[in-house]
Amino acid sequence: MTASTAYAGSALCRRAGSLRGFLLAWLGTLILTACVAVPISYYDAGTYAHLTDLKAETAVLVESFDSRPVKANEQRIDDVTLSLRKAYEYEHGKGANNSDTTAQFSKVIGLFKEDVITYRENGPGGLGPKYFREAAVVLEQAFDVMIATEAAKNKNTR
Amino acid sequence: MSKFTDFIDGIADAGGKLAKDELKTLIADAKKDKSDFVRLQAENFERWTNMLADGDLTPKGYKLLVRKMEVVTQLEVIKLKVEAKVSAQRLSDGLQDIVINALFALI
Repeated sequence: MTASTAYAGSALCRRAGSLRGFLLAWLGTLILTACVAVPISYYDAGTYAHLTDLKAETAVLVESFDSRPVKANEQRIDDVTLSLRKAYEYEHGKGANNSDTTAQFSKVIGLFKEDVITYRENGPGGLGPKYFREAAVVLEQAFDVMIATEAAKNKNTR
Repeated sequence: MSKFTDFIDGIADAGGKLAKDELKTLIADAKKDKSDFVRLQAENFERWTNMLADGDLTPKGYKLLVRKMEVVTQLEVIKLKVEAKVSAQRLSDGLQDIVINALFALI
């Protein structure tokens, strides 16, 4: 091997080395970028159970507003309101990474509260004989969106 | 003609405030949308309009129900946002566990 070929070979190696270094740096940057913590909570079986239970409880209660007098439902309204509040606090307690679920929960509780206010103001039949049956359908659909949101989350396997 | 379109056509609107054809097209298109959520909301709207026509809902009750659709739509928007975050989290966790913790230890 002549001196010139040895020099050319070593230059090629240096260039290959710098290219490898560049690629590794690029890959490292890419991975570090991807590994920034994504602000989202993991799937929680407790949340899923709360939501499916509350969906049924609230819908059955709101449906009953079409026929039962307000006075006869006040205790059940208090009970369901308490259950909703407990479940909300459970979600809120998970912190900032669970803010999307907490925001959804606030809106669902708002729908229920509006149904209760409307019921107390108008009584059964005041907004039509089937108004609360339909309000219950909306509430169920709202819970379905929340349930689907929770089900879409990743399971924490770490 | 369906009960829904008959009812919309029958609304007295001397001032021409309601774009009846656009409303009918909006709902007809939404009922064929690829999103289950959008189809469901269109069906709600059509059913409530029919119930208003039949007297099963008062105008006040009808308006309250339609306004609830806005809230449910906000929930769906949050769901779509969460699904995007979930994909990003899956990639991030996978890179951490499989690439950094496992592959990097071997090379």
